Amino acid sequence: MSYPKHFFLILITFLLSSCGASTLSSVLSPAEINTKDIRKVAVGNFEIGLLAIKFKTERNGVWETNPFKLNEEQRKTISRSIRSRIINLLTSTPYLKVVFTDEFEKLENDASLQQLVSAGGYKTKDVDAVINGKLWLEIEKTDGVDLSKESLEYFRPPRTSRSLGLNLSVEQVVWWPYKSARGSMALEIKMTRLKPTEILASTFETRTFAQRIGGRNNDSFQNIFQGIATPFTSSKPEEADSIETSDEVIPSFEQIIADLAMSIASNFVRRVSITEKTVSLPIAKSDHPNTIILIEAGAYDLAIEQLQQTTAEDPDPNDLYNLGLCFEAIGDYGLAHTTYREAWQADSENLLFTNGLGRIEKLRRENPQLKRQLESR
Amino acid sequence: MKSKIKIFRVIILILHLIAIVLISACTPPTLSQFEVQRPSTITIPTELKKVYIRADLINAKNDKLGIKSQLLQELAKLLNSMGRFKVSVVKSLDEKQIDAEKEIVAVIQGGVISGGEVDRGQFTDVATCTGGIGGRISSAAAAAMNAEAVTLDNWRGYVCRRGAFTSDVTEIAISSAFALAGLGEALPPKNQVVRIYKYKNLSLFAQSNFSFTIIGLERETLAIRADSANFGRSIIEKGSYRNIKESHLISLTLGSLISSIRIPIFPIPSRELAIAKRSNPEQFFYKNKPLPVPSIQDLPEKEKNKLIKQLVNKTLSSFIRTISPYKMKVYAEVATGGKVDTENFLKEGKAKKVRELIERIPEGERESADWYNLGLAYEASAVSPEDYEDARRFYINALEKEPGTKIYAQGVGRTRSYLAENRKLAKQIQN
Repeated sequence: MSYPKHFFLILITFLLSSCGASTLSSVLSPAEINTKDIRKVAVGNFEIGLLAIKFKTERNGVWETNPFKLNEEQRKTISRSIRSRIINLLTSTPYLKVVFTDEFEKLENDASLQQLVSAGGYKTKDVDAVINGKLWLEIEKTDGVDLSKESLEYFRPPRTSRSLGLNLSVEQVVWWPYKSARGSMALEIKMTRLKPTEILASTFETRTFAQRIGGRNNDSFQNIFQGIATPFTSSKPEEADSIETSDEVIPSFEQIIADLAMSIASNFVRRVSITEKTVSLPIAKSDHPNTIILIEAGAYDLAIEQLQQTTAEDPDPNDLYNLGLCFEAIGDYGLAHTTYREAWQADSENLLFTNGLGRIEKLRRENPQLKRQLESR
Repeated sequence: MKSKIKIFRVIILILHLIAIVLISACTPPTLSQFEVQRPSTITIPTELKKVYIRADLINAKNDKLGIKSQLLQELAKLLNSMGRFKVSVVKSLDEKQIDAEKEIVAVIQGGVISGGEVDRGQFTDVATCTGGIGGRISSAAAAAMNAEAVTLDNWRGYVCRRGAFTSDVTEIAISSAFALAGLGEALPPKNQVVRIYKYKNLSLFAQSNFSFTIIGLERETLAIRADSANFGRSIIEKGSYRNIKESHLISLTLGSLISSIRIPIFPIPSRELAIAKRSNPEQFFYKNKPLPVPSIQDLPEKEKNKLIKQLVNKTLSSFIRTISPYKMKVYAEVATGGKVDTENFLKEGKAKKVRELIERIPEGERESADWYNLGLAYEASAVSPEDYEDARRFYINALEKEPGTKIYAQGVGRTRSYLAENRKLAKQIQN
């Protein structure tokens, strides 16, 4: 019955595992808005607009909600935790210098900050801008029960070649207890320049989180793939500092808040600061496997040496693309563009080459802005 | 029927072959483990040597696990082990006593947040029970091999387990082996049951918020970080599994209605018979107060301490890497073959011995594995950029002798990244 499905899955797993090679490369992206005059920033308070944390229970269709009351210190901790995540991201590249002062953090809300800034009544010197925000957070954990009709099978093979077997299914009403966590966070973040006073950037974004454990068990594709992969896991030893986690455990409120805040903050930081990201670059198939493994291993200099020799003798478009990829990885965008273009001219139908060309053109477009921003430091 | 069994056997044979190929391909290689030094994210002025962790300025109001003291001591210990700073934890610090003209010092302050939860409950599953001698043995073996909970049905002791892809494949393989040997039925009897079981989910959480401020002629905060780590474990109480509804019992009750093969019974005449009532938990597991923090009954003290240590180390690592050059463990595969057997020496970290052994072989006679293992020995015992240059050269020699070998290319890639970072690192660790 299900064997063809299993074979199909094995086949897909093999195909997926044999998919194209890739290499990881680190890329700097410029700030989306012009912040080159902003060098030093202070991070103010993150005001709490709404903070609702509750436990919900449901049995036989009757719902009960128990709000989880937070004291002032716990509310402050949540606000500080979000503030710290933003500082983490701001300080991950040496573009903006964060000035540690509690002068702006002490202010209750945005109105007080705007008032202080416009009146010029702040004492902290050498700050070009202040980042502050407001958050609305709702998290609920539920202990509930699903109800479903299940068919239970009973199979008895024939006892003799002449007798009949039995294969029947009986329907049952089954309760499936579950636990779930659902969270949504809306975060408004502002960057206000002090002199002249101006709101340089402002974002309002929302994120949601949901996890459910238990309930009716459906064998998802993910579970099946996990089942296949588990016995053949990588031989790489577990890192000594790797900590046990489980998808079957609902994270604590603190962890949910940290994850949601990080996600929103990263978008804001991309707007106001140079950011570094790691991208996966696909490698083209080649008749020279040595070059592929060199690129995969990040040995770009040696790969360039070998690919330059190879393409001088036989300018195969795949090798030209891989050469361009090495130049891209070491940050030589001019040469990368030339070589990608050569590969694309030889085979303009190839999506990989087109993507490479598109990627490098975007990087080259961003490069003057990035350069200006870097030089402004 | 016969053709079905034939197809079934062919499938099993193919599955066996796939399993053998995969298992043989995944035999773990020998690994050499060593440390490399990497530069910190920010470069701290070289004249700064002393760092004070101010316990009085570390907020611990939400430190429910009481880890503040351990976290601060561990931070001091780890930073001291990196060799860049002399770090101590102090209860307080009179900054007026610091002569900023003579020396600059740094202060670490911030906060610690920690907590944990024990979340208990009951879940339901549907399991398939297998009868017959071969069926029972194969089902029990598949469950044992895949750590599945087993229950026995109340009628004839069929072995019940929930089933998953790998355990189902294992069961098919074992039962077909029994069938081929004539010890079991090709198609054993099956019976599905509704089961309930209890679980306990444990979680621990730790977060550190630290700032690193220089106190000299001017006061300047160079780094601020907040990092967290969490632990989660789901414990299913295997002894709590109970069969609460078995299909064969229903079929027996309805036996008089069944007279031929494949009869679906809709609807079940008795309402009671159609409801798996015990799958509805009576108890509420969430109440109007926070879930309790794991106690010694939930996590043995020794294990809890070990986990807290892991959480502490993880929350500290990014902060440490931001301010201080740090050591990182590298696991590199050892090449097999070659003129001399150096596998065990490299595994045990005896890099100098390996260098001696391989360097005795004339260069022209060295095989690719010798060149690679020599590179690995140089990399593992490197004390200068020249050692990394040599290692890189040896890896390239290995790759030239045996093109297309992944681990040789990885060696070249690794040494490239060390050499690229070297200038920054040298600046940070000078003096």
